[in-house]
Amino acid sequence: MSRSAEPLLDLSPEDEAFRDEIRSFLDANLPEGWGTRGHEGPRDEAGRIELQREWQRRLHGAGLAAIAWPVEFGGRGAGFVQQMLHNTEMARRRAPDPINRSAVAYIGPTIIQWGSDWQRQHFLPRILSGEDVWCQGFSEPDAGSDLAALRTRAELAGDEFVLTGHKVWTSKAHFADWCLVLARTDPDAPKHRGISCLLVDLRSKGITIRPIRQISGQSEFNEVFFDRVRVPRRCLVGELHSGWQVANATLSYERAGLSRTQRIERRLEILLGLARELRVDGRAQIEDPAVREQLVRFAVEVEALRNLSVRVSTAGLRGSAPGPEVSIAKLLTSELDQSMAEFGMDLAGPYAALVKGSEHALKGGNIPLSYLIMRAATIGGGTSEIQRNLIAERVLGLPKSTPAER
Amino acid sequence: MTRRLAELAEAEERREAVRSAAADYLKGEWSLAMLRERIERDGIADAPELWNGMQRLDWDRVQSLGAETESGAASDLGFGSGEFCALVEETGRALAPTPLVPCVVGRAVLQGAGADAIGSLPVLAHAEGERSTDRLRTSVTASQTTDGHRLHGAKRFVPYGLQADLAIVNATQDDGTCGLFAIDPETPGVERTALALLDASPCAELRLDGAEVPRTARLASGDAAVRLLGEALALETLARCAELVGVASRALDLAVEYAKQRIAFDRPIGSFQAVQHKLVDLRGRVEVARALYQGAATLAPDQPEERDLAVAMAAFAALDGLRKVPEGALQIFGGLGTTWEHGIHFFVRRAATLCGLLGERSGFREIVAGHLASAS
Repeated sequence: MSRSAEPLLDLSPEDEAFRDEIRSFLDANLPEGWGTRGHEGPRDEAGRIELQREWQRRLHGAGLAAIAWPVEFGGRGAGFVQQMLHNTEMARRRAPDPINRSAVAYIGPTIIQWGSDWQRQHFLPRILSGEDVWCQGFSEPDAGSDLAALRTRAELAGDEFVLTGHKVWTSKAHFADWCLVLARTDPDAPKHRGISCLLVDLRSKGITIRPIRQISGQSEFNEVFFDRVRVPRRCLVGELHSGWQVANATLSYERAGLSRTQRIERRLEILLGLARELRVDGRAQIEDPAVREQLVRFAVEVEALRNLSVRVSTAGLRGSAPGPEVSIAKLLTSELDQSMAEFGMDLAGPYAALVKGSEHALKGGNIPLSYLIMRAATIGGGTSEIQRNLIAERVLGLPKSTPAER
Repeated sequence: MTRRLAELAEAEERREAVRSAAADYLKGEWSLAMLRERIERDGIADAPELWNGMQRLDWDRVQSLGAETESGAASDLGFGSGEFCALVEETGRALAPTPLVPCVVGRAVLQGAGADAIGSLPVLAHAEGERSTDRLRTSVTASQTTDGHRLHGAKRFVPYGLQADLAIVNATQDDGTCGLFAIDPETPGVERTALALLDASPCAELRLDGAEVPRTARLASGDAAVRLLGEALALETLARCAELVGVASRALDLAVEYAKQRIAFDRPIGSFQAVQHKLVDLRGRVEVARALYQGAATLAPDQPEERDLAVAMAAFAALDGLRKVPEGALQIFGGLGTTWEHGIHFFVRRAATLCGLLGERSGFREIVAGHLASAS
């Protein structure tokens, strides 16, 4: 929606100043052409990465790289209102994603919550500045929804772990510097109790990275193979064998990140544009009551999720990981995002079938491309099925349908 | 009543025989791996060798229009739409990329019009750039010349339009009536451009810039043209519904198979009700859509209103429910389903493409709604 959140909020002078600060920052720093109609940014991955690195540096330079983090770790300790203002302003100007958006959202907070003093001092500033780019190595081919079934091994030998295994769906691994890895350190313990969490330097010997081609044709994800990789003991996060707790915190932060609403806000705008532009029998589809009803349903949900997602992510900043409610936000946001991409296909009718490069393709073929990309929304970061289990068990308090996760 | 049931049972048996023969043939000749290889190699999903094989088995001669028999339209082989659609459903299941549907629809029009030459790949080109719920509406014009007709305008979304050796085009004539013309695409003034589709199947745009065709190119005019076009559109729509049912049902079968094998939390994921109920709901969508297209396929062509209502219901159910089946199947595969290599996405792509080309959802909706309003 084009209107901002302001009319809903009676801003305090501090919040107003904060908003003005973000606005001036964007005026001064937004890359040229960015956020204007039709601007797409760099088309190749290298250009995109460079732009995102630069954006991370600029945000960091202005102290805006991680406003939700506590002040002592380089954040602003921003609360609900300021985060909402921040998100709204960034979305309104269509600011690019900083390179460490996900690291700021869930790896940094994990280190803040569970890391040692050395880990906090060494890694957090480098996340903020983008000096180190991070990825997350949790899932394995046979450990997805059932993450605790993971088989990657880390054996403690003296003051080093020796890491061997196979991770999958590791986004950014092909250009990242560090990876947060879950590995089995006690194969004899019950499966949730023998796991540890390690910070792994991706330049270490014994690491092979292979891109995975997605259904959209893009390769955002990788497989990462560890072959007797040596990891110093000081890179263990939390206690030995207590990685499952660490991972649960990371996953909650990740879900909070995945419930951010910039994307659904943008997609709603796109759908409204399509419904106005695309005609059937010479009539704009937005005049069709069935189309209007669907758009209203989307708009109402987007509005609700905007509030919900900020509440969820701020809840997590008061010293601990977000509560299980975050699964509700992740579930609803990803399903809404996917439904909207599907509705784009409905609106486009036969034009939904025309892809990039074809004559008459709409929006450079972005409608079917988004449709394909959005299939993963209800899978990545925990499938909708797993979110529903978590909500059933941890929010509603229903009996567990799967073996205990403790 | 008894006789009617016996007839239905017999039709069912015939359809089943066709279906299982088609399934066996396709199993031996085509696979998902071959489709992936073809798309990676050529950028186009097309299997000419498979199509040659189908033609040797006379799959392209299973249907004609206008030749009325006891069981409605029948073909050289004594088949009706029911059998044709059963065949098409199997090609959908196999994701076999051939011009079976466009060719059979094109030929049916030519035979219905009593045309002499039927060509090796005639296709009906009716869709246009401007979207409409009125499927007979056209902005292509045909004006009379001394020795034939001159055509202006464009047809878009023509499957196999580049490969076709004959394009059947509906146009508005000088007197405002509908005319059906068979156009040799090599005619000066005809320009064909490839369109790139989501499922990589062949498709084209056909521009007619004063293309001159002989008098004999006109297949039908006025009411006869409208009737023939209506029948052809009904057949094409049903065939696409049948193909969608095939695409959806195979995607679902693959997901069901995977749910039995994939282990999470120490048991097959198919033992979880969340997965079971999802798969059952998808099966429901397939059954509903199949029942509707099969019902519509048994109707005689001499009751166009009844036929159009049945076709609209089948199309609405297909649009409303069938794209969701491969989507849901992909979800069952989890991360694996989001990889290019795995291939479930080819079903998603095909279903989304067929849904896009099926026709305007609001058009089908209003046909059914109009009937409900007038029936009460």
